[in-house]
Amino acid sequence: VTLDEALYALLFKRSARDALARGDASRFGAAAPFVASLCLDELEESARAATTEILLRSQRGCGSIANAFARTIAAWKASTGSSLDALAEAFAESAPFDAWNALPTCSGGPCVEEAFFDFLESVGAGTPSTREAEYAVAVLRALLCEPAPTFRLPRLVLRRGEDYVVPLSNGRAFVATRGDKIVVGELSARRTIEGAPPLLH
Amino acid sequence: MNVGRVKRSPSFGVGLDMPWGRAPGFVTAADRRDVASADVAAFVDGHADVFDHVFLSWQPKDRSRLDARAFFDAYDDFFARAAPRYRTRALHHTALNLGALEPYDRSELYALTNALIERYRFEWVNEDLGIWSLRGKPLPYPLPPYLCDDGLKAAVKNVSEAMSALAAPLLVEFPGFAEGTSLIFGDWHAYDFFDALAEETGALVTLDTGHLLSYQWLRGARGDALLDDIERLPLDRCFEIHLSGCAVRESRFYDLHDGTLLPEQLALLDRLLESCPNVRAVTYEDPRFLADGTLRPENADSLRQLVERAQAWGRA
Repeated sequence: VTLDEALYALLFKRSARDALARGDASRFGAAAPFVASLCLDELEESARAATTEILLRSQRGCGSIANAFARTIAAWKASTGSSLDALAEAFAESAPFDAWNALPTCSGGPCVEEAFFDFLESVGAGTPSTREAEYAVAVLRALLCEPAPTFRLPRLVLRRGEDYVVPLSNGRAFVATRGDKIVVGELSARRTIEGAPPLLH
Repeated sequence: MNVGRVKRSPSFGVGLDMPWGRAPGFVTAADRRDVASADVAAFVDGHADVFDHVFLSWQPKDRSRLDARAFFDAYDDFFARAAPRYRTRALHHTALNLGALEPYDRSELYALTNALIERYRFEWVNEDLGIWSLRGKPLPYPLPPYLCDDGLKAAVKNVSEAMSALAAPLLVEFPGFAEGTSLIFGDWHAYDFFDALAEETGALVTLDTGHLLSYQWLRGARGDALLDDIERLPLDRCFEIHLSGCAVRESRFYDLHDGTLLPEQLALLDRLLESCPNVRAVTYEDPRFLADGTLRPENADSLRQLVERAQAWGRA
């Protein structure tokens, strides 16, 4: 285990922090002597800041993950009695989180909206219909805000000429069209989704 | 010391964080062009007789592929409307990840940065010696480098690479140490680590008074002891000194960037100006201002004291 691997695990993985709290620094291999000297309270504070920030960080034109999936997150919090911090921690522990690359220089992976949706699916957060609808709006906005996105085309998104389309499992679909105005709406009606904040373009 | 093409005369300037999508920063105009927000433009232009140089803090604009042309509207507007009278310009980077141990591809960042250097004639590029991201995940604040032999080796490699790749001199900045959230790996004294890095790379450096004090605070120093040990720093390689607003609240040191300086920062500035023979730039980072561009009243005394020192330094 290299130092950066150890730091990544300690910041983003509850399982690694729990192991350290139990006195099990051996799992960090060569990094163990460095890890063993860390203050556990500071580590928890750092980890909370790093993980929760990912849900609160605003993407230009798209808003934050916390806003994009507000209804599903509210449902998860209500059903589990847990906080946004706990949700962020669970997301960070997940495989979809590891697959996501945020930086411009780390292109080709899923966008954070897709990674978070995959995580929500894996834990069954909220209802499938709400989850899917929030995902559709979030990824369509992300695509329209980026002229040349560094993330891959989200797997549920189809290209139809200049439009992006997300078919939903209930037979409906969302569509995004770039024109004089960016519109994200249901495929049949081509209307802006009610209550959606404007895009910054 | 070879300072290359960087300026030789003392310069007092201002540094601005420029986030995208909100003021103060870059915002979208009615015609969809990116422009400097009105408050920034008014402040910078209104203080052209106070500051000699200006630096902008570069941040990724969105999740599109890196392309310098995407920044031209905003930067063109800034330098045409806000800073036409500033002859000396610099760039503060935030993505070079100079403290990283893991492989980190900077080639696209170099290409973009060099295009900006060429277009805007940036005289230097500054970057914290920090860890800005881990395995592609952004961090809410840069972490200090790994203060051990492997961390130094990696930092030397990263800095050397950046010095070779960039078309302007790289100033490596001593990183901040946030109490409670700066995980410290390794037992090197950070001043010794930074000195070794400067020695091995030959890099010019930036000493940020808040960052230096934050490290000493974290080590338990208080009062005059906060200014101790500066002789362990690469003083002869210091080209720039940064001052951003800091505060102490409930026994914690905060690098707030709110424009209000602590007395200890000014005392440290005095000490550094006496001790750094090659310093050429003193930069007031992230002052706060009102919508009409006037400095916030709570920052007025900090700027006044800086101007007094800059004038005395310039005369000296």
